[in-house]
Amino acid sequence: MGYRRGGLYSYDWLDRLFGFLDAPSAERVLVEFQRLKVGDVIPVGRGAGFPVKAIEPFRTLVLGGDTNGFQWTWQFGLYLVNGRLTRLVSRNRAHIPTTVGSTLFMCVLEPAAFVMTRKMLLGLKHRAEAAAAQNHDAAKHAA
Amino acid sequence: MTPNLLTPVALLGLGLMYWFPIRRWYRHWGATDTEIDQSMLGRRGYLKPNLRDHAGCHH
Repeated sequence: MGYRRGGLYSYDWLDRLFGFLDAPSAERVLVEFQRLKVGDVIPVGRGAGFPVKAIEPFRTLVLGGDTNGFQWTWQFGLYLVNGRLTRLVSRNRAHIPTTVGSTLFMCVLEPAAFVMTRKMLLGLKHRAEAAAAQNHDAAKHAA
Repeated sequence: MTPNLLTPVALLGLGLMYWFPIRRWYRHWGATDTEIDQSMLGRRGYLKPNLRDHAGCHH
């Protein structure tokens, strides 16, 4: 995930419009970028990137930052439902300054973030399912 | 209702529609109440959040 990595798996035109990416997101999971650790920063084209605050492999990735009184965390969680089904959940928590400017900014940011996050989750789902199907086929051929 | 009142009432109605059902829907998209209430790693040292949103899907 990130600039010059897999991308953001959202709407490519919006990622470009907001300056996050300058190329479409990867169509598949890129194995070479799957090793993150706390303290790494996922680059995005604009801004300081997404610092990794916590990680539990195959379970949780928490990104977060603290800039100008705006504290945010963004968690991706994987929850096993059964042997074939997993839930992918995105959760955001933020403390924003209680000013008119911040409130108006969030009124604009919230719906835009929803549109992009929804597409990102569906993009992750699509890529994860494709990778799982590929692994399944490879195992079948090997047997 | 006079035309003078119609516009502000319509705007107020649209505003309420956005702020309550629509905003609530997109801030909880696909997430369950349990998922929403869970604590989050990595927030040590941060102030109590005054903004939260969630989204979830199956794969």
